[in-house]
Amino acid sequence: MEAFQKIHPLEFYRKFLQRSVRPDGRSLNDIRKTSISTGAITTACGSSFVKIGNTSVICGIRSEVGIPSFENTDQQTNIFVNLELGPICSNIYSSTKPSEQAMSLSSKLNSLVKRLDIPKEDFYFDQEGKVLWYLYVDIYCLDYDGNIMDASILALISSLKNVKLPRGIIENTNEYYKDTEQLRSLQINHYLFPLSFSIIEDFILSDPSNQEEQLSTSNLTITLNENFEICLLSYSGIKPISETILQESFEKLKNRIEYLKSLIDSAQEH
Amino acid sequence: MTNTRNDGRLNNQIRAFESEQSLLNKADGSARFTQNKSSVLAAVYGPIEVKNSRKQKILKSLIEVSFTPSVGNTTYLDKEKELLIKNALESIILTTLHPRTQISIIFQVFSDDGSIISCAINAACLALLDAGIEMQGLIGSVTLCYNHDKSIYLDPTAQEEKECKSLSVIAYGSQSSQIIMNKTEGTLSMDLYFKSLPLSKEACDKVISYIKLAVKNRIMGTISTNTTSTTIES
Amino acid sequence: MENFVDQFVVPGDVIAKIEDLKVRIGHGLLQSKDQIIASKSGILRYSKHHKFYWIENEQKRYIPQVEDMVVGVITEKHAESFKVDIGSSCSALLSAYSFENATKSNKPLLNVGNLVYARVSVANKDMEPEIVCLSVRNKSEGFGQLMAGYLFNCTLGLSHYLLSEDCPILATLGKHIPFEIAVGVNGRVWVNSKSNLHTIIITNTILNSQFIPDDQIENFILKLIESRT
Repeated sequence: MEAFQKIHPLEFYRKFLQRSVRPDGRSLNDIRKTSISTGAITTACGSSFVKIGNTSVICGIRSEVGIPSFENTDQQTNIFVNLELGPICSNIYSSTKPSEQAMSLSSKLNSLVKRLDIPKEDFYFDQEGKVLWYLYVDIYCLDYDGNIMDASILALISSLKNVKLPRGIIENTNEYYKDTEQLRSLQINHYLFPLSFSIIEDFILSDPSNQEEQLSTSNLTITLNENFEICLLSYSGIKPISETILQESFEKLKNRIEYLKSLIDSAQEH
Repeated sequence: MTNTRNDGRLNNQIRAFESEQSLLNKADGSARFTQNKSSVLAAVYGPIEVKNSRKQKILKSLIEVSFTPSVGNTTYLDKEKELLIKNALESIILTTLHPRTQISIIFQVFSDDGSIISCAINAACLALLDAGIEMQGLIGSVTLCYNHDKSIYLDPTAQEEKECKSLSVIAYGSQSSQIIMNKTEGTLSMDLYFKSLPLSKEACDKVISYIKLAVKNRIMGTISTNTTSTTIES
Repeated sequence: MENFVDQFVVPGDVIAKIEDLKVRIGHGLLQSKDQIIASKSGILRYSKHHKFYWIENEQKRYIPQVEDMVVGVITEKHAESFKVDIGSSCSALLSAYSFENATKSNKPLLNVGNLVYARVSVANKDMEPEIVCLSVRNKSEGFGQLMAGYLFNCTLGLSHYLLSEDCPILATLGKHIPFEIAVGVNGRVWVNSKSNLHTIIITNTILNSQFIPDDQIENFILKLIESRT
């Protein structure tokens, strides 16, 4: 049976999909066991660790002070996200060349964060805002078993909610002091709830594993916030997708929102 | 009362198209697509031998996309654009007809005034037709921006893209009414999103009929100066 | 199907439904279930000689098809075969025995850089193409090495036009300048004439013929000849 899986992976999967199950026992809509924990990295000002099935992602946030930028836009310019897929997570990634997939995902995560609507005052180092905090979010994948996007988005929002910034004091216009006794967190009232799908032939699979992603012809990632507004929708694939399938996908995500919200909230309490 | 935009367009008005084909000598196909101040040149080489033989696919042709912005080096933002465009084009090119070969599509942005991914995909469609690469249909792409006051602007300029609440790049093919590629960012209500889909489909259809007209004018133009009928001699 | 001939088509256009049709389709047309669909943009043509439909466009890249006559440049010489560049994605194989009267002791004297006029004998998408310098009757009949002369590239549409019956350009050129010409359907044209000047005039005329209407070709040629002599 293992030989059959290696020689004809698509045929092997088709036999399962036709009966609406997957080789690991899940139905087409089941999502793997998800767990979120925060605060694992004590040297970072915020961190989180997310595990979806075997896919593990760790996220750490580093804070730095800097002067405000001159751009005057509504969008967030204080948070920079970088996702790295290195050889530790899978043998398909090399350590020297940054993978295109990692760059594309970093770009998507940055655009998600840009429109998160965190009040500007949260980033003030001192009272007036002459100097600002800049947050550098680093997401590392430790184990790649498909669906890196969901894990990264959950890791991102959990670690942002976990961020504790010290109060800042500026003396004599040149000396900065951080009062590490008094810590405050960012006021992030929004949540991000992601769900990714892979389409193999005409079957739509939620939360694809690595092998399912490799066999898929198209990929869809959707993210809703707590008001059921679309924060990210990304569809690309060899075959086109119809509106009805998009609407069904949103319904599936809506059913999962309660569970994800409780996961994110309970991770913050510890 | 119609709310006009900064350049005087209506909400659902796209900028006028201009295109040139076969600009480059060496490339198998090339085209430049311009929408007012957004202009992208696409060059197609293929089917050619695969440069990096590790990436060679046994049953299909490999599609390689390279995107160079008008200013600066390529960053991770350009890499994301490359992947989006590559996936969109891979769905209309018949890659199984040329196994173990490579089709390279190279983009150079001349000027970026918003909707640059859509401009690039439209330029690629024209360049692929110029190169004679087999496709299952034509592809047209359009960008929409959703504003804070719930209005929708078609084909936004760079300024409108910065000020909007959310942005969506969408591509449709000529063969079906299903979406080939879509990427939205920013906060957007589901109702507004689904309501705007027919609008974007109509806009993409307009792009596709423009592409058809442009290619027809070019081909009928050159053939008519030669002869009316051609037969192959033995 | 007949009503589409000489019409402009784009990829995705349904040309005909196959019910009882018995047609041969060439490049640019595909059979999809019970329909014939165009996969390239161009003008649908019907070849009376070979009796098949194909799509004519101005592309530059050649895709090998069996029975095409091509001009190739030898790039590698091996013991019993040559590797020839015919403009496709893969170099073509020319066996040393596919010449008239070729045997083990009587192999053709070809070197790297020589030009050959050959016929495509094997061409499918999964293998490298093979060419032979023999006609269907296994005689040379014009195939083989092209000596001296000048080779230039043109689009596939132009090469088909040059091969059409009573091509006016070639007839008009022949009235003023004696020359020999070999046109490959892979977009390569070989020209040979008595002096370099004549070769240049012929090349320029052929390349510019795409942009000049037929009635002005004669004037164009006369102007070029006068300006140099």
